[in-house]
Amino acid sequence: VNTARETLVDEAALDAALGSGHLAGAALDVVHASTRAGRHPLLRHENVVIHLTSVATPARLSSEEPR
Amino acid sequence: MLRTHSASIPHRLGGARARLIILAVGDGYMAARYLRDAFRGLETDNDVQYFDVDTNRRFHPLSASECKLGEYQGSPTEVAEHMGGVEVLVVHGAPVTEAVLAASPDLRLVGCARGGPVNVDVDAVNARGLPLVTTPGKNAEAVADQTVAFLVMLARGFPKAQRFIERGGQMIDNYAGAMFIGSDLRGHTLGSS
Repeated sequence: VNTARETLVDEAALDAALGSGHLAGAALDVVHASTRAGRHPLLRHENVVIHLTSVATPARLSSEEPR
Repeated sequence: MLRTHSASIPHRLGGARARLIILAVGDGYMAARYLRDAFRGLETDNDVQYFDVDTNRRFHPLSASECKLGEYQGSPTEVAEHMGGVEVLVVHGAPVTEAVLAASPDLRLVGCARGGPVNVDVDAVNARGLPLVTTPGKNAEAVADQTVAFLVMLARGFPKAQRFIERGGQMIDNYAGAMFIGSDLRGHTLGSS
């Protein structure tokens, strides 16, 4: 369960740990800003829930124009 | 709702305390109307101004001060445009850069209504000798709620059950629900053991 900052989680490692069954599940309030549109890759696991309460992800708060 | 550290603002020398010009800046996450709820009591003796940043207004971080900010909403130029005569600036996620601070020579206090002032160039605030107040633990109860909700959802298999239903899955009978029962939290270890 991560209700803190997305930088605390290595999402690739989390993805692998969920895939191997080492982790039973994961719940994330913050995720790394994705450059890709569409369904978040971690949601391919049955036991993952994502909620985006946090203001933390740069993609949501930053007003930077895409270069 | 806002809990701030007490900060003493030095009174002007001589005479009664004059009205302070306070600017409260809202954003898409915390609208100015919430700041207004918190500051209404100040309006009798001070000139309190409110505005919400235009969340569509964009800019490229160019100056060193702008590049320091990790996360913000709105444009520092827009905040600076409202800074004339401002003595107390309060933001939530709006950017506070060197240019914003420079826009009011009368500025005496900066407040950031969040735990970590990541949208504030803290070095620039310090360099001007201005006090910076924040609201540590502002969202502590909300985060605790969210954490408990996540624990229960995972233990009880909420995501699995929801995926099943979203896919149009059907139960043969009530007993088929056993696959989603999950486990009780009682008896489990919270944290690492």
